[in-house]
Amino acid sequence: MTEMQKTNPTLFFLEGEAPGAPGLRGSRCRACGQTVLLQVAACPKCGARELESVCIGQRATLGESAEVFHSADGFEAPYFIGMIETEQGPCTFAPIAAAPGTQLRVGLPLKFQLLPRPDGRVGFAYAPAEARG
Amino acid sequence: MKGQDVYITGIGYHPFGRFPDKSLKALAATAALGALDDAGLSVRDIDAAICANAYSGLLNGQESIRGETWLRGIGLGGTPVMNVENACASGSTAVHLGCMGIASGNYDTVLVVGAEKMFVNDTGRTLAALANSADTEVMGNIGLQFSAVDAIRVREMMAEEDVDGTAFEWVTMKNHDHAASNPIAQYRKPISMEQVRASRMIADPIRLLMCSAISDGAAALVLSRKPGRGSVRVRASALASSPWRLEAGTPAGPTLAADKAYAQAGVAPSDLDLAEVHDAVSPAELMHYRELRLCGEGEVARLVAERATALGGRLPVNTSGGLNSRGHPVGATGVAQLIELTLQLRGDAGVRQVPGARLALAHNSGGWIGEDPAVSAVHILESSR
Repeated sequence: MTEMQKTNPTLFFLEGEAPGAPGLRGSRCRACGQTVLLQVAACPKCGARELESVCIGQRATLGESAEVFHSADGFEAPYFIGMIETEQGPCTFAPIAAAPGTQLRVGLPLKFQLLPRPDGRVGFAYAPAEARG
Repeated sequence: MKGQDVYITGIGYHPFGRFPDKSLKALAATAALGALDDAGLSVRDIDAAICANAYSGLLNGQESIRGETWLRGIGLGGTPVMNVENACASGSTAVHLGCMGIASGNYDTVLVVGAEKMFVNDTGRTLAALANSADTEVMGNIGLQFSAVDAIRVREMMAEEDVDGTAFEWVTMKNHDHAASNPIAQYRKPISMEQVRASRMIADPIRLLMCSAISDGAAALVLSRKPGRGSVRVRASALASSPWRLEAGTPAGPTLAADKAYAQAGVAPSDLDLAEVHDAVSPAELMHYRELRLCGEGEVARLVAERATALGGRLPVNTSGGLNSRGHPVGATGVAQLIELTLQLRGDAGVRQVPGARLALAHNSGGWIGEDPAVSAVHILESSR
């Protein structure tokens, strides 16, 4: 299997890199259960140093978003960026996979998806999810 | 603020704009010498210098000892020089450290210089440098530009306040009007709301004329433990890093810094006569009215309707023109805000003068981490004239 090069190696997992992947990389405190984005050395809530690496953000909810009209990072304008809240809690900015001109609404359910990039690397975006039964 | 009193006794600047024939050293030297002259001091009277810059390493090829290279040329030698990088809040962070140096009793006189040279004949390189003011592990390579960050923040405000594109056009026009008489300002030509509306969309709802532009420029202050001309005293100097928002209701970074500053100064937002706020895009100014407690939640539209924050209103904001019109040479911005407030508190602001100005606030934010600016800085100045 050809190894894929990620755009943000410390931000997200490919399938097989962590239980529940693909998704974002998070840390879960073994002492208080707090989950945060990225791998951190100490829990920001209780200060404990024992944290497990977890995959989060397989599903998320859209907060506010903006359609961007200036290309950057290989994203051809127009494209969308949004603030997303992962189902585990942490929030972050993320590309939103939606056609130009789409009226995106706050609260829209999203799912993590890998996104092949023009430079051959693999990135990620959040796409509108089917309603869960 | 604890410790010895701190006063702003000298101000100097190099105008903001595009200066292809001037080096960063030249810009910084002009501002530094101007501040020393204004204070009636020579470089030998300075106990320490603190220099602010964000992108010289990426844009100008000088990563280290930036301040030492600037100040060598004005004859400074032997005196300690410290370099500060804190994204768009580099300048106010340098002022903060200068204040701490004097308040602690370790220094009597500190020179603060903020400078940036962002025009490098490659706009893409400058925009890429700006993008470094976020956690690049998280925000790199995802198409995120600061205009989009601001657009999303403004949309969050729009969901809670009765403001729309008309308010954004007004605040942009207001700040261009203010800048028209400011000799430091990059854009000194008034614009109409129609012109703002007709400018191209950058990140919905942010239009081109609402954005602060790439800029070259420098600003400097002399801080002293003794009052100088105008007796402008630093009543508060507060910083806050991006908070962890682990619980609902966690205050925003600018609110944390503002609350610290109000407590240090022992004043309330209602005591202020004017403010300079970080309008990297002009609609963000409206957001900061709330975050800095200049109004309550749900009251932004009323401030706009009353034109309360224009010159002549009850709380003029960004009388300098703000980042949007005065310009935003990143390392200089926080220092330039305090220059405007010092002029106002001395009574030297000319046609921009706020009558009887006595107490003034400056808010400068920088970078992005999590759900807030990476750093927020708030200063409160008072005139004891």
